[in-house]
Amino acid sequence: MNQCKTLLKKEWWINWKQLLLPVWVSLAFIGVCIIGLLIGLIKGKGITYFRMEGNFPPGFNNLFLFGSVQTLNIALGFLSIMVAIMLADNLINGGFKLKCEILHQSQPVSLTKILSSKYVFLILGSFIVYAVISFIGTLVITFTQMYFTSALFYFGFYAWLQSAVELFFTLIFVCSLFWFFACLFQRKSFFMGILTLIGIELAIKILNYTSALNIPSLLSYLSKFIKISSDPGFGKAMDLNVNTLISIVQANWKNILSNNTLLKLLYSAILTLGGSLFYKRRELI
Amino acid sequence: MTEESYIVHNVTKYYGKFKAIDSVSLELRQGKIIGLLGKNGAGKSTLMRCMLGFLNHSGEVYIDGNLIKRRDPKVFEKVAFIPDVSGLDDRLTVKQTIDYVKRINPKWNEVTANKLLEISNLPVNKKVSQLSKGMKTKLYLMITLSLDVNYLILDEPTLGLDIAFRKEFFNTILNEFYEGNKTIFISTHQVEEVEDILQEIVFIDKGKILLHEEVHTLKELFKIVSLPLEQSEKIMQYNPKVYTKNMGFMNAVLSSDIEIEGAIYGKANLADIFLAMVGGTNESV
Repeated sequence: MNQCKTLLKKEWWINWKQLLLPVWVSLAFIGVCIIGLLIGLIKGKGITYFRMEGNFPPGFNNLFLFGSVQTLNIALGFLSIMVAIMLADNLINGGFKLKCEILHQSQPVSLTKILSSKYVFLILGSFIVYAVISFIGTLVITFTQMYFTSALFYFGFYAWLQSAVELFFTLIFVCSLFWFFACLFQRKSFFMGILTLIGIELAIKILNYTSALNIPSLLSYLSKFIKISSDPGFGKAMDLNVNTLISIVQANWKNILSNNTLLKLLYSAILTLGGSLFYKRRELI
Repeated sequence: MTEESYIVHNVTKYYGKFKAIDSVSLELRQGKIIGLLGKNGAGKSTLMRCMLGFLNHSGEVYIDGNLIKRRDPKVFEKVAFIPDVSGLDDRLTVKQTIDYVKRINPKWNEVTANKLLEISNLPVNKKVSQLSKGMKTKLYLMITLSLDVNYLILDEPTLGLDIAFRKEFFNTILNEFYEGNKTIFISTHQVEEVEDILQEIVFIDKGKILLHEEVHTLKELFKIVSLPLEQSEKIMQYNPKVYTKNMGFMNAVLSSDIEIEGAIYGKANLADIFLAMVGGTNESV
């Protein structure tokens, strides 16, 4: 346990700047927003200038709140996933590229412990950073809209919660996929991984064309598992009554925690273990 | 097979089609300081890495009677290793590096570490990447010698260090580590500097062990024979692999049982004997 803690600490010392990239980007975004707000105020526009005017149906404000929180989460989720992909390569191959892996592997620690701590750092680290920033963003958006409109906290909170849960499983899947590629390819694992996927897709297309087979597309199959936030289906609502909207939000859990989620976890486990086996076969030259 | 020993049995290692290590068998008995001498590319580093389980190879390696599997972390409960390249992690600070090894390696000895840290004058708050090559080597030596292990494998440990620290290392620091029951296996280019502390020597060339002998026995087997140049044919009839001509004399290392009339005899050092056995120039040893 003590060794695992030390390994996690070491990963933090090495990768904290990269792990916190979404924080830096968010701070830059907030900075730009504040400058915009200040310019608006200097030009004599009051804070209410930023408020939406017009006659909207009763539930619209809630719908708008849900949508805006979801948009924020999609943007942050996308950023977090991109950072996690880079981090996966750094965690697996960083030591090899810098020729310092020998120091870490000359200690009496099993490879399983080393790999587990890297994986936990990758998934939990990326998710915690995402969850904290997106939650703060959600609170800001929700309270602002609650102040200016009659929107309910419920919609902001559930938009965040559902996005966060969905992103968590997607993050596990995407990280495991690129973990696998990072273990397989010591250099340029991201590009090599993408090339591999494109190669397989092309091979499928050629086979389908030449042998009249009907093998389904790998990329469209994978895209099913790479959703950051799903549409609860508000468009199907007959009215914008708050209770109707709440029941739609609750029904959305079925989309988020479905058989696809189990498949995501299953594939993630296979990819992680497969990648780890390749990693264990590496030589320390 | 001795229980307390490091045994290499019939180890062969290929890099592609190139045979880097060729059926090497070796026994390092406990309590000995053993030198490994070979030219560049002779297989010294590869042999050491095979002994540590870092590389795929045929043959077996045993530590104290236990078979070593590839990437077996248990090796490092008994062995500490310094590679020929600076294997330190540039992304950590000196303090973090020390802290990391201290927490992850149960063999860490705080008393020895403090003593070594004191004499090494390392800037603890600096990043490893900001250290000079010599400082990096000092840090690696410091953390490795702070481990209470039975075997110390040093691959060119003083590479990049100035002569003062090299002397300090071989005469003082290594003595600090060396206790009667510990084994040190050391490869170095500066064989003259370790000659006095070595008890046994192993010569390796083209991946094969040429000789494994006690140093004082080996020195008794050879001598330097000098004759005026006009009598050089008396030396050449023994086909020495290496000979030098200077100041009107021909010098060669020959077997100590050879007697030549009018010759002057001198003691051969390890480098001379090595060159006499494998040929080549002094620069490559």
